[in-house]
Amino acid sequence: MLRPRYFFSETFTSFKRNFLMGFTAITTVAITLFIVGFFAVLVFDIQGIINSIKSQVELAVYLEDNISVELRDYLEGEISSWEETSGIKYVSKEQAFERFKEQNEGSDILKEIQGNPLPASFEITLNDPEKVELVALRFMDKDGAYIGGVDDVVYGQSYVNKLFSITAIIGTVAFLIIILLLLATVVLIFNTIRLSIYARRKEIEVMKLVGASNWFVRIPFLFEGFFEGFLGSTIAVVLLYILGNSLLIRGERVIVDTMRIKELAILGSGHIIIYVYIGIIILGGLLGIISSGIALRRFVKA
Amino acid sequence: MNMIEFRKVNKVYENETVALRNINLSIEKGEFLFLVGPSGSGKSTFIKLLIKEIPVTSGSIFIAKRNVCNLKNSRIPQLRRNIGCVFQDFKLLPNKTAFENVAFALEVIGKPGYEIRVQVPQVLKLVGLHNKSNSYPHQLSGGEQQRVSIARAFVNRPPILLADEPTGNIDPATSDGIMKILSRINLVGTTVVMATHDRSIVNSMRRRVVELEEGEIIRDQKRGVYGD
Repeated sequence: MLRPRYFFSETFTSFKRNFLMGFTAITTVAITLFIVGFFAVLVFDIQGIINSIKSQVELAVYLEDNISVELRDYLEGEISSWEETSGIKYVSKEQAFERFKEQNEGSDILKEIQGNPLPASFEITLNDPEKVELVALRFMDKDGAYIGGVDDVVYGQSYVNKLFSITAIIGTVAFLIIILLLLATVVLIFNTIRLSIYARRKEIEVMKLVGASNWFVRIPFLFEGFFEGFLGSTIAVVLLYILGNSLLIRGERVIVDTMRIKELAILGSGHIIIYVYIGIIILGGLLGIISSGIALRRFVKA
Repeated sequence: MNMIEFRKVNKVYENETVALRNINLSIEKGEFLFLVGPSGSGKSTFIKLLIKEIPVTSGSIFIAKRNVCNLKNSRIPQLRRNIGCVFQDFKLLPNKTAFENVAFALEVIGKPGYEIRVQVPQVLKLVGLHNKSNSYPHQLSGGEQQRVSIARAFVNRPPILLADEPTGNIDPATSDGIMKILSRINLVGTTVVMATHDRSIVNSMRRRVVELEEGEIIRDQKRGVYGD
């Protein structure tokens, strides 16, 4: 006795009739899910940034100017053999100076420098950034002095740690905001559907009077809830795509520039963003159905 | 055969109002019964118990030999399909025409379209509204609206028709028309229970009269009158 045509026409005529109510519900879903989606994308993005920073943590080992070629080769071989090392690159004094000149092109500082004050170095990348301190310690003897040939070891630990903790905080805050917004969405959809059920209580009363089964009464409202949630979330995704995308990419550029991160999982390039969009649409539909299900319980006793 | 039977039925509301007290009553198939008594005497409670809108406090109610008190909630719709209901306030849907209002009752119980197209005009003719089937409730008089609601209650040909003050909002001349329709429905074998405090209707019909007072049956009379 399923009659899909009845339910569809009932859903849409009811939607037409309660247009303002439905419009409110859809707008509510669209706005809240847009914000939820924005933060979700942000969280994923931050995760991506953290990962790419982690993979880029470097250890610079500055060498003494008078280091012998044998010692240098020995050190290079030694460092390469460590399991933490994922890459090692020798930068000579000349290369270092070239790089410095490139970075400070047109600056007055170049005129004041005489000769080449920059040391040669090994730039080491690690497969596990957490081990950076451990690796750095290997360049020291028991007294805390650097071993022969090594002038200094730099790994910007405090900078990296600070960055990690900041991104972690942003991630947690965004996550909490997402949860709160989802709760708000449920409450708002729930209330809207309840109002629309209340507006049709006479119809429900008559339906029950003439012996309509409970599911028969419920299904149009569940459809309506699903439809409103689905439409709202689709609007949210379109908004996210248009507005959020450009905003986030711009935001990312700022992060990239200020933090001098070379490559990032730029938003939109990954397929994670597609999953976020699909997730939001499914979420919208589910929220709609679940909220109307809860709202119906008071009016249609099982 | 007893169509409706009340055995030691008590109904006490949550606010401890006693609405019905030890009701024992049998109504035969095809009978026409008036339920009379002042407001608050328990007439509406009686009707609500029959369609299981509210549960009994104690005792049992049998409809067609079946105890409806221990009926599962999911079976209530089935019960209501066998009991037509007419109310003082008609309970018509304002955005549907007379035809649609009657058809709605068949739609929601899953009747196919061709049956609806045959049955609705038939029952509208029975209540004398076949030429107003496209009118909306606000375009109809009170009497006509009540006839639509009777058509809706009867379109499914239920064995029982309950009417709670069906003439309460209607002038006496129009009420006669309503009573003629209810009599006609009764004549084809439908058991009709009508709650009313319309003295002249009861007196002119000369049917069985059950009088309630403060939730108790104080009179049960075949071919009775309203009382003094």
